[in-house]
This record gives sequence, C-alpha cells and structure tokens, in this order.
Amino acid sequence: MDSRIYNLMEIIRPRVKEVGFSFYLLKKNKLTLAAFYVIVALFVLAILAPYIVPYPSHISDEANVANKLLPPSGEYLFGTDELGRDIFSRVIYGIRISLTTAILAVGLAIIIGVPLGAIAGTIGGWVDEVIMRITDIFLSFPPLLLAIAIVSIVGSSLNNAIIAIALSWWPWYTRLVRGQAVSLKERKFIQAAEAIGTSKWKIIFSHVVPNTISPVIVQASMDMGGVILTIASLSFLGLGAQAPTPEWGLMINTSRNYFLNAWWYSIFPGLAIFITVLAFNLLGDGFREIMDPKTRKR
Amino acid sequence: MKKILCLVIMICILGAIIAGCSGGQSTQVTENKLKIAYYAFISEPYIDFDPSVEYSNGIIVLHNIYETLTRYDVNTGKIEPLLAEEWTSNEDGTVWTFRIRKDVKFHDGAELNAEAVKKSIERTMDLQMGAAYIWDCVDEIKVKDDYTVEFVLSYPAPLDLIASAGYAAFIISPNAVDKDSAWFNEGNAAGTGPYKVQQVTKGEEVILAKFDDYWRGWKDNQYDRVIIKKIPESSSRRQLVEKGEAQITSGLSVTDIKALRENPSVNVIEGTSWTNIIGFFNTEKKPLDNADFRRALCYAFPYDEVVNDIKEGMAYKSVGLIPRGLWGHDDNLMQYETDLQKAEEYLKKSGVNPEGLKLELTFTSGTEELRNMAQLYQVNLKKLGIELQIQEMNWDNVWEKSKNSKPEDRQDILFMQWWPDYASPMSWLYSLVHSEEDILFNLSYIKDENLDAMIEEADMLSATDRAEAEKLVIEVQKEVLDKAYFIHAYDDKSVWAADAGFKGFKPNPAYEGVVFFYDTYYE
Repeated sequence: MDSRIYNLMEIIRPRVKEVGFSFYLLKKNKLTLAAFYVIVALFVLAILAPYIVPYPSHISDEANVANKLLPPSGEYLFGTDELGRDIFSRVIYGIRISLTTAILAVGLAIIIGVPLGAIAGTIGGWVDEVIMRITDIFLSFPPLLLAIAIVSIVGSSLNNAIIAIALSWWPWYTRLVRGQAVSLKERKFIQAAEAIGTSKWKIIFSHVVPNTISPVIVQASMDMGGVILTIASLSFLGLGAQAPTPEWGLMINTSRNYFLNAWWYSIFPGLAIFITVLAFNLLGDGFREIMDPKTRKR
Repeated sequence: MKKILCLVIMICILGAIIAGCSGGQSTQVTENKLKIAYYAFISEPYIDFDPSVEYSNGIIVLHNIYETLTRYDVNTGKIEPLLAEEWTSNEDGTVWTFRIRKDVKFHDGAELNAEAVKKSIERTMDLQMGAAYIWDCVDEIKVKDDYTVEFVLSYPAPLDLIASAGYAAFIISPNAVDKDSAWFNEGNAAGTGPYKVQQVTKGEEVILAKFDDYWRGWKDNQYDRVIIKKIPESSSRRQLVEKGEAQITSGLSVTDIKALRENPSVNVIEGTSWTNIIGFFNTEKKPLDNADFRRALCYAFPYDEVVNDIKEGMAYKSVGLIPRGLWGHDDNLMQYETDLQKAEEYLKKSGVNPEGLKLELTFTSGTEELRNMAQLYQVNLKKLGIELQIQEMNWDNVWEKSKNSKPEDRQDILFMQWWPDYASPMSWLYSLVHSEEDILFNLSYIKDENLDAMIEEADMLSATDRAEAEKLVIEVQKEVLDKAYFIHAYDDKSVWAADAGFKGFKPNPAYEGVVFFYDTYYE
C-alpha cells in the first residue's frame, strides 16, 4: 500500500469511528434525533421543492387575483395570498431560501472568522491584540442591529442581508477559534512542528484549523436557527428579500394587513420558521452534548 | 393535593387577569359631557401648520380652523359663498370683486373685513410657498371699502374657483397675519372657522375645540371637540371604528372595507374622488425615451385586474388624465387595455432588447393596493422578458430620487396619486404635463413646447370660454396618451368608514381627506 494512502487511512479510520460513535450518542438522545430527522426532511423538501409543490408557477411567474385570500382547502392546502398564489407552494419554496441563505451566511462568517481566530491565537502578540479588539468592536453591537445598519447603507436585498449577517456573526467564530488555538499552541505536536521549522502559516492551516473544526461545527449548527430568524426578521422589516421572493419573513410582513380576515396567511409561514428554528436549536444543543468530552465519558 | 392547590391558584390568577381586562373597558368617557368626534387619519395630521405654506395633509385640520372666500359644494357641483357673500367679474375675467360677509369674528376676537382678506392673500403670495402659485394671476388686490375687495388680474382666470382652493386660500386674522411660520408651527392659529386649536402634537394629533362665536351659529347635536390622530395601520383604524372609539376614518384596505360593510354599527360612505393613480415613465432615460417601448409597457399593465380584483370595484378604470366628474374628462378618449400581444408587437417595433432589462419601480410604501398592483405588473412584464424591481420607499425618498439631477440615477417608473389643488383639470396639466425648470411634479419629465402652449391657452380660456378650454384640455390628453407618457392606472373612489351615529358627512372631492366637522352631527 502506498504510504500516503496508508497515512490517509490512519487519519480517516479514527474519524470514521468517531462519527459512528457520535451517531450512536445521537441515537440515544431522542430529542436531538427527532430534530435531526426534521432537518433532513427539510433539506429533502428544499431540494425536491420544484417537483413536489402543486403550483410551481405561483412562486414568481403567475398571479391570479381572482382567487385571492381563499381559506385552506383541498385545492390550496394552506390557502392563498393577496395575489391568489398558493401559500403551501410558497412556504415549501421558502425552505430553500431560508436554508441556502442561512448556510451561506454562516459559511461566510466561518470563512472570515476561523482564519482570523487561528491567526490571532497562534501568532499572538500585537496581531492578536489588533484582531481581538476589532472583534470586540463588532461584538459590542447586537447582531440584528448591526445587520440592519449594514443593510440600510448598502441597500436592501437578500444578498446584502446575507453579507450583513455574516459581517455581524464572524466575531463569535474568531473568539471561539482563538481560544482553541491558544490552548493548542501549548500542545506537543504544535511545538514539535515549530521545532522542526514548519512555517507559521502551515501550522495555522494544517494543524490549528483542522483541530478546531468540531467546536466550530457545534457553534455553526447552533447558529443556523438564529441566522434563519435574523434573515426572516430583516425581510419582515423590508430589508431582506424583496417581492415576489417567497421568503417567510416577507410573507408574514405582507400578511399583517390581512391578519384579521385571513389567519392562514401569517400562521403557516410563522409555523415554518418556528419548526425550522426549533429543530436547528435542538440539534445544536444535542451536538454540543455529544461533542463535549465531559458528557461523553458518562 | 399540591396539584389541586396549584390549579386553584392558577384559576384565581386567570380570573384576576380577565377581570382586570374588562375593568379597563368600563372606564369609558362619561355620557352627556363633551361630544367628541375622533378622526383616525392614515398619516401625520399636518406637515406645516402655517396656512399659507401647508401643501399636504394639513388641509384636513386647517379647513376646520380657517375658512376660504368660497367653497366648492359637492351637492350642487358649484362654487358657493362662504366668507364672500357674492362676487362679480368683468367681461373678460380680469377684474373680480368680492363682497365680504359682515359680523364674522376670528378666534382672537378680530373682525373680518376687506383689509384682512387682502393681507391674508398677500401673505400667501409673498411667501411663495406650497400652492401659492394659484394666485400667480393676481396683479393687485384693492380694498374698495370695508367689506369689498377687488382683485385685478394680469390675465383672465376663474378667481371664484381659485378662492375655493383646498390649499393656500385661507383667510387669517389680522393679528396673526404678520407672524412668521415659526409662530404658526408652535401650534398657534387664528381663523374664522368653527373650531379653534386646543392642543397640537406635531406628527401625532391635533385636538380642536368648538369656537362659540362662530358666525353660522351652533346646534345642540354638533360636536364640541374634534380629535384628528395619526393611526397608520389600516387594521388599527378599522378596529377603532368598530369599537366606536373613532367616529370616522378613511384609506382603509379593501379587505377591511369588505369586513366593515357587514357591520351594522358602521357606515361605509362612498363618494366621488378626483384622485387618480398615475405611473410616470422616466422619459429622459433609455430605453424609456422610446415611445413605442412606453406603449408596450402601457399595454402590459393589468388595468382590469387592478380595478376588479385588487380594488374590488372601489375604483374606476382611468380614461385619460383627468378623472371623471371634472370638466375636461372625456370618456371617448383612447385608453390602453391589457393586451400582451400588442405589447409584444410594440416591443418589437421599438427595437428594444428586453433581455436582461431591469426597470425600477418606486412608490410610497404602506399602501397595500399599490404594492399588489406593482406585483401584478411585475408578473406581466416578466412575460415580456423585462424584470421589474419594486422599491417601496417613504414619499420623501421617492420624491428625492425622482428629482435627481442625473436622469440615469432616477427611477424608471414611479406611481403616485394626484388630486387637484382646486376643482379644475388645470392642476393635472400644469403640474404633471407642463414643462418645469426645476422638477416638482412633472415626473415623466415632459418637455414639449407644443403641449406647453396648449396648456397655457386652455388656462387663459378657462375663465371666459369653458367650452373652448375643455376642447384644448382634451387635445392635450390625446397627445399625452399617444406618446404614452403615463400609465393611467385607475381613478380612485373615496371610501370612508364612520360610526353609525356620525351623520351629515359627505366626501368632497375638491378637499381630499377633509371632514368639515361643522356639517356633521351625532344621533
């Protein structure tokens, strides 16, 4: 066997075992497991949305005002909105939008935050000072407020909302990773790497960053719920998605005008947000428990 | 045992909460004291409290505090006397003599006379703010005797009509007429109207109290106090009227109106309105400078769907620029229909490539019907391959953007409502079609000398030869329709919801949004 492949296998094998063990722990935690299945279902729905919704044309290509604000029925499961569009189709499509925007926002925050944290923690000194003080400045704003401020400056659209959220979320990752990096720095393998003259950058990106992945994943899965909620809030305020995008927050905002006559219009997008955010939060909590060595020993 | 105790405590708390709620309701205003009329208004009750300056919502307050020389009567469709008892003009409409009513008192005790009229109108003319342009025709105001005032005009104009204007025609007390705008905006006022100011909170509410010495006298069942308060949400205004807290409101959403029609304790009042909703094309920007392209856009607009399904019949399809009920309106004018095939044809003819074309549509946020209309239009334009980007903004921002010095930085299409300053079609032609040096309301940026000349001539003729003026007004509209400068979306109906006990109100299209509380009474 080629020694490189052998090395790779050496690395992968314990990881696979780890994942298997994690899944075993996941199975033991019923609530987390349920949340996990809900999220898997949401992803499946999001991917299959164009094939399963009854009225794909109601997303943006068609409006039929003659059928406006019909209550839920066999034909329109969740009723229709003010332009006669099927709310069920739009809510299902909304999963796509919420999940992709949330993943993009969190991903962007990780891309900004993790390297910065690793650099700050590993190099230390004035670099650490500068990076961490900047993070402190960002952390001193409530995330939603900062996102609102950013969107108001650059203009309201879904893309800008994603960027704004990423910009207000990255400091959390920087902090987390920096803490990890500082403790890793004292570990033998890093010191060994330093001793044989490995460059700082190589240490940061091939030793420090990979070893901070698990806390970052836990943090990310916990953040997903919050990010989905923030995107919905921004859209609700008219600062995120714009019509005719079937975004949940935007749908609730429009439905306010009809709430007294058409309860279904606000209830279903609201339920969608509720279920998604709850599932992600439960999953995040479960992940934390699973990955926490203290709970593992038990 | 513990559980039962818990339950008992819970029930007690719940009971207390429920009792607390209903307790709050019972502390209602005691009967037989002051009778209050509460008008829940969609927006700020006024922007500037100076009657010479205000060119916005403020007329809903000012018309109850101040009065004008004449008033447009919605029942007769004519100009009726108010502070002027009668008036005459010379043959060619250049000299107008008004006889002023005697024994009329201002709120501050001053007497109304010819001098007060002259000073009030001169104040408005000197300030040159708001709608002061309506007096542009006036050359000189002469006081003939104590109760006769003569207007000498530089060109013929229907001054009796102008004196009835909703804006900039108020008569102010001689004690207040020399004060500056700041004094008025501190919440001071002195008019001859039936109500005087009691309390003013800028941007929120105005409370008016009955003026005991009002010249038309008072009956027992009229209102002692008037509250005009900003309640921006349609559903909140609806609830106020349903609960009987507010006496009257307007600007409700179609869904709310529909629900209120079922309610026996609420009257839904419909009236003519001279408001129409107009889409303005940015004709100074490519590709909207192309008339064929604009025609294509006009043919793509969902006219019938808007009137029937969005407004649910609470609007008429526009025919031409001038709304029905005003002279100059002509039902025989050509009107664009929704016809995507024709739109496609004109698009081809225009040579504009719709691929990747994005048009920006702006309008004032908060109006549900406009938002729905914009979304329908978006769907139709998508079928032509054009992407419509909808931008809902505050009116300030919409207007600011439309006045940008660079045409490319302005919006492509802007939707706005327009109603006249006084009962005349000239308001549409002068403000929306006639060329402007500084952009104000000509938001299609029309610059056409031929049209300008026709409008100016029509304006001159309107005082002396109404039939000829009307012909010209129709000619102007034909040209405007042919060039497709505007989308004529719909003519609005004025729809109000009032408490069943609130009587005597009739919407007056010449004074948009105004409730003349003196005419109303309770039952």
